[in-house]
Amino acid sequence: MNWSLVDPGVIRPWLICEMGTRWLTAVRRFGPEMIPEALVPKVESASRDEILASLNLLEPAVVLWETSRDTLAASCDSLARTAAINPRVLQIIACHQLTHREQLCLTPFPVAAMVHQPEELPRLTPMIHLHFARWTQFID
Amino acid sequence: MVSGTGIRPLARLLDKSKAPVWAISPAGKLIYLSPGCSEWLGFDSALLLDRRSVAGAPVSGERLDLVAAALAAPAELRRRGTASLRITPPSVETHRPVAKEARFIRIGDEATALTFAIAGDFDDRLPEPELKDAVAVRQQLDSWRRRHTATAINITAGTSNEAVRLRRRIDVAASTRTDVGFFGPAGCGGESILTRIHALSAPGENLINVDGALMDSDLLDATLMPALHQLSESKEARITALVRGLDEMPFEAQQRLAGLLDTFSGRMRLLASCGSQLLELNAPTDDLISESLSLDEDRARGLCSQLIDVISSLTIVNRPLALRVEDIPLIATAMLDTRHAAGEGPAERINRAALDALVVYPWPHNYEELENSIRHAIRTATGNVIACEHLPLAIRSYRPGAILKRTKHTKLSLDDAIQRYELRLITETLENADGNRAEAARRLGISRARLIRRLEDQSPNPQQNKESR
Repeated sequence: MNWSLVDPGVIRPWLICEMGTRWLTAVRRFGPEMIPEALVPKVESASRDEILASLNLLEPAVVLWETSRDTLAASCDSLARTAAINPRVLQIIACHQLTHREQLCLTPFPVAAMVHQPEELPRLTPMIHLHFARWTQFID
Repeated sequence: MVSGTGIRPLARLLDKSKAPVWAISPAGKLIYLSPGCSEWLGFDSALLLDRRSVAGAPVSGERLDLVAAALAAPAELRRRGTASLRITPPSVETHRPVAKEARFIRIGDEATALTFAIAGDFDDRLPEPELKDAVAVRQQLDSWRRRHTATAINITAGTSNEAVRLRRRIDVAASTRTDVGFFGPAGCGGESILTRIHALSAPGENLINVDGALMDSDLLDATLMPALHQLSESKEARITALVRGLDEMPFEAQQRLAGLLDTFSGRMRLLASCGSQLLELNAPTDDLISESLSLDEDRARGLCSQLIDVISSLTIVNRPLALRVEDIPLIATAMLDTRHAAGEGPAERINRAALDALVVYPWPHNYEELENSIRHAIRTATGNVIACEHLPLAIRSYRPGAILKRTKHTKLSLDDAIQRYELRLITETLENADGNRAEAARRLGISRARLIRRLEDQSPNPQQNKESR
């Protein structure tokens, strides 16, 4: 996909930070249905550093962090830094195997939603709509 | 207290103990239940002996069979030899058994392996993450089977709003003998739902199957002739017509059917399934059904107004499977349980990778396609677990993404997009050439004048560009 051909005003970036491709596949499947029909989701997989580096350039976007027990501390750090650099980014945590106590560790950080399995993504549709409507009201 | 190495002392101890203990034979039947089971379940547990104890097995729908199935061991006991499960047995009569943690142990070799289980208040469970998911799904399914014993059709499993609405409507339809209209695209299981509703709401009543698309008025008369005779001869006689594809039935045949329903009002009942066109008219929410059904354009809608009046007494809408994504793992597992209980294969659960593949697949042929996929998978799988490689090729090779994006781009202006692309290329090349326009033009294979013209066209201040040449 050559994104330079698409009007930047209709692109809604989704960045996925994960080990495999599970959530990338899920967002490619459900992402287009989770934003208004006229808009285009730009779904990309990126490393933690790449996401943090590109935050200044990002328009309103969604970042999905896959978090496991081993990466919990790094995820907390990324969540805090992302919110500080660019508040227009909606942050979602994908945590399949975290215990309830470990999930509680994430609550002080600006996490918009936690999902455990890909089938839970469509539930977030109203929230994603509202997020983009809030930050792009002057663009759209 | 009696002690010994023989079986009798142990039998006495178990009989005295209040702990529910039970044993399952290699064939999956309950062969022993301690007196503690009777106390826990609230009835004489001897009634459960020789009943099948396999998850999803209560084929008869009898309450005791359901209790026996709830006592079944969780998936993968054969491989692991031990397993844990929190069990809430269905209530029989007024007694509501409390939930208990159960521990299962399998002993003996493959052909003669016995499963022993003991229930109590344990707190030592640390299952593998994969199995933890499987146990969670099993518990959700057990809860669904417990609450909807009679109407537990696999496609009604799930926790979504759509699943809840569907179950409630089916429960209402099953509790009263009334005309029912089922709306859903092809493969949505309308016929199985309507057949179950008929069996529950009017057991023993004559059911006549009518294929709407193949009917004309004469053929309809011929199909219904025996039933019409029955209705004419006896005032007590009652029949139900199950019409598949009512909206595909020719208009004249529809009017004839409406006339018959009017003539034998109350004694002839209509259970009808309609296709996706009507579903769209009834969308987006079920609450709008009465409003949308008041439209006058009968022919455009595919149904005559008299029949709309009939089926609007109770309508059931089943959304396409792609709109019930969060229910897919439960529905698929319920289908697998049914087939496993029927002895179609050894697979007891679907692993997470395979469930992910099922979740992202768009299911153009809905529940029927899912049913076929599970049938394919259970026949292909040789072990206890269905993995991605056991799913049909179309599902395991599906990669989402490209199609939807392409359709959305059609609303963009091509000229604007090309202009932006051109300007971006020129800007990048200029930066690489350290701002040297002649060099940038050479690298792009265009004249310097053309490059400058393009820059001027895009610049908000053309005068400034001219000065900087």
